[in-house]
Amino acid sequence: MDAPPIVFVIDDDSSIRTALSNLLRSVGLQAEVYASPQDFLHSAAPEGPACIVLDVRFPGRSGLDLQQELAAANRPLPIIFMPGHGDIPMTVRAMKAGAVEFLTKPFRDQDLLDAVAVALERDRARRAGEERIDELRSRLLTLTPREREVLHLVIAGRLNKQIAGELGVSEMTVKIHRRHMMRKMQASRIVELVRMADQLGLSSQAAPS
Amino acid sequence: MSLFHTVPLQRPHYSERFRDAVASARPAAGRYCLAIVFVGAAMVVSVASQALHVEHNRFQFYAAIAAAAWFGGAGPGCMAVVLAALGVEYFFTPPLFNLRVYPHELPDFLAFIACASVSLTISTRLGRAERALQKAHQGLEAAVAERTAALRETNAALTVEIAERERADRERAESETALAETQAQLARVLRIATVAECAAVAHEVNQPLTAIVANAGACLRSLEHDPPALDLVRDAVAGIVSDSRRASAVIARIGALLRNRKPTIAAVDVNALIREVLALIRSVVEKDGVVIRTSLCRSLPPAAGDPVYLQQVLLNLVTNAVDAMRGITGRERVLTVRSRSDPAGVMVEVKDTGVGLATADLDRLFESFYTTKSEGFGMGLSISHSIIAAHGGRLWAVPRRRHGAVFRFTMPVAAEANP
Repeated sequence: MDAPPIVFVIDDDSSIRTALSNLLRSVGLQAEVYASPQDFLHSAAPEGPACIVLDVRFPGRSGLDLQQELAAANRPLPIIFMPGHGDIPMTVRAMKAGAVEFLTKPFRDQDLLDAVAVALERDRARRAGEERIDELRSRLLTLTPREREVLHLVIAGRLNKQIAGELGVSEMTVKIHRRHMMRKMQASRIVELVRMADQLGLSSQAAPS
Repeated sequence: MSLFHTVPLQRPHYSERFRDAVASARPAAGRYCLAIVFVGAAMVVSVASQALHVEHNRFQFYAAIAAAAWFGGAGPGCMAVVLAALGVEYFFTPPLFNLRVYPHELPDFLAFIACASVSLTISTRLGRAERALQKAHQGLEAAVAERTAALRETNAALTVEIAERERADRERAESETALAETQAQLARVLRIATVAECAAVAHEVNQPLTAIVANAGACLRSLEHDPPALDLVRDAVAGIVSDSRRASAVIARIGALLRNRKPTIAAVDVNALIREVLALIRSVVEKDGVVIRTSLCRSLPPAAGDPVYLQQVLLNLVTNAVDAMRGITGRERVLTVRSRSDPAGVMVEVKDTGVGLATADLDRLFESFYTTKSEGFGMGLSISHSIIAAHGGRLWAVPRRRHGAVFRFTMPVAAEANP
C-alpha cells in the first residue's frame, strides 16, 4: 500500500552516480541520480519513504545548503553525506542539522547500504507520524466549537461539574458533549485523548473563553 | 654742580640716548652749535660765580670742552677750546673786555689753553673709543643675532632631519616586519600547497575507488540473485574497468609529479594525448558547463617528448582554461583544443572564452608563484614552461581579441629515421 522507497543520489561525478545506483539496485532499492542539488530541488517530492545520498562539495551550492533548503521547504528528507575528504567543521554542522550518517569516500558498500536502511526507516517513521497527525487533525476538525471547549477542559483535568460551571450549562449537557467528543476523536479513555492532544500540540491550559 | 659732569657718569642710559640723538643730528652744524651752547653755559656759570664772589676758576670750561668733544667729536671740541680761550681772555682775564693779554697773565692763560687741550684730547679719545666700543658692541650684537638665527635655522633643519631619520627607521622596521610576514606567508603557502596537493590527489583517487567498491558490491549482490541479475553485473563491471583506468591515470600523473624521474623521450602521438587529457578532466568540465571543441590535425607527425610530462602540461593548460571560464556568464564557455603541423614541429593550441589575460600579466605569466587565481599557487604555468623548454619547444600566451586567452606550445618532431 506504501509507495516503494526511493534513494536520491546527488553527486557531480558521473561514475559515482552510476556505481551507487548499481549498488542500490542490486539490493532492490530504487535509485534516482542527480548531478547537482539544483537539479534535485526541481524534481517532484517522493510519494513513499526516501532519503538522499549527497556529496558535500558542489560548485555554487554546497550539500549543506541543500540540507537547509529542504528543511526550509518542509521536505526534511534524511541525508547521508559523502565528503570527498574529511572536513570536520562541515561534518559537525551537517550532523547538527540532522544528517543520518557521514561516509568518507571511499566507504564500504555495506556501510552505505546500512546507512540507507537507517535513513529510510527514519523517513518511514516520520511519514507515519505525519500521517497519524494528519488523521488526528482531521478528527479534531469534526468537533463543534462547544465540543472543542469541552475537550480543552477535559484534558486540563476538570470534572464534569466544573466544566458545567465554567461553560454555564448543566452537567447533563456536558456529559452529552463529552460523549460526542470522545467518539469523534476515537478515544476510549481520557489517557488516550490526552496523548492525542499532546501529539497535536494542543494546550492543556485553560480553554478559550 | 654742573649738569654735564654728573649726567654722563651716573645716568649712562640717558646720556647715551642724548648723545645718540645729538650724533644723529646731522649735519655737523648741530654738534658745533652744541659746542657753542656748552661753552656759553660755562660762561654763564663763570659770570654767576664771579657775581657771588666765588673764587674764579676755569673748571667749567674744561667740562664744557670735554662735553663738546665727547658729544661732538674733535671739530666741535677744538671750536669749544677756541671759544673758551677767547671767552676767558675777553671776560675774565685783566684787562677785562678786550683781547689783550698782560704779559704776567700769559703763562696762566697758556696753562688754561694747555689744560683745555688736554681735556679736549682726552675727551675726544674717550668719546671715540666709547663710540667704537658701542659700534663694536652693536656689530657684535648683530653678529650674535645673525649667528643665533643661523643656529636656529640649523637646529630646525636638524629637527627635521631627526624626524626624517626616525621615520626612515620606523619604515625600515615596518618593511622588515612585512618581509618577515611575507616569508612566513610563503612558507605557509608552500605547506598549504603540499597539503592541498595531497588532499586533491586523495580526492581524485578516492572518487574512482568509491565507485569501484560500490560497483563491486553491486556485482556480488546481483550474482546472489536467483537468477543472477546479469545486466546489472555487466554495467557494474564496465564501471569498475573504467574507474580503474581513471584511478591509474591519476596515479600515473601523481607519480610523474612526485617522482623526480628522468624524462624518457619517445615518439608521442599528440592527438591521442589530447584525447586522453580531455577524458581525464571530463567530470570537471561537465560540472562547469563547458563545451569542448577539438580540431586535431589528421596528418600530425609524432612529437619527440616524454608523454607523462606532456600530459601534465596539457592538463595544466586545459585546467587553467576551465578555471578561467568558471565565473563567466552571458556567453558560451568553450574550450577549444587544436593540434597542427608547424615549421617548429608540432603545435598545440588551448583556447578558452574565459576572463582573458591582462597585458600586465603577460610578462609575468610564466614566473613561479605568479597567479591571478584566488586559490592558485602560481606554479602550474611556470612548471609547464620549463617542461616545454626542456623538450626544446616553446610555450607562450596571447590574449584573444574579444575575450579569453590562447596558450600555444610547440614540440619538435620525432626523428623517424632513428635506429
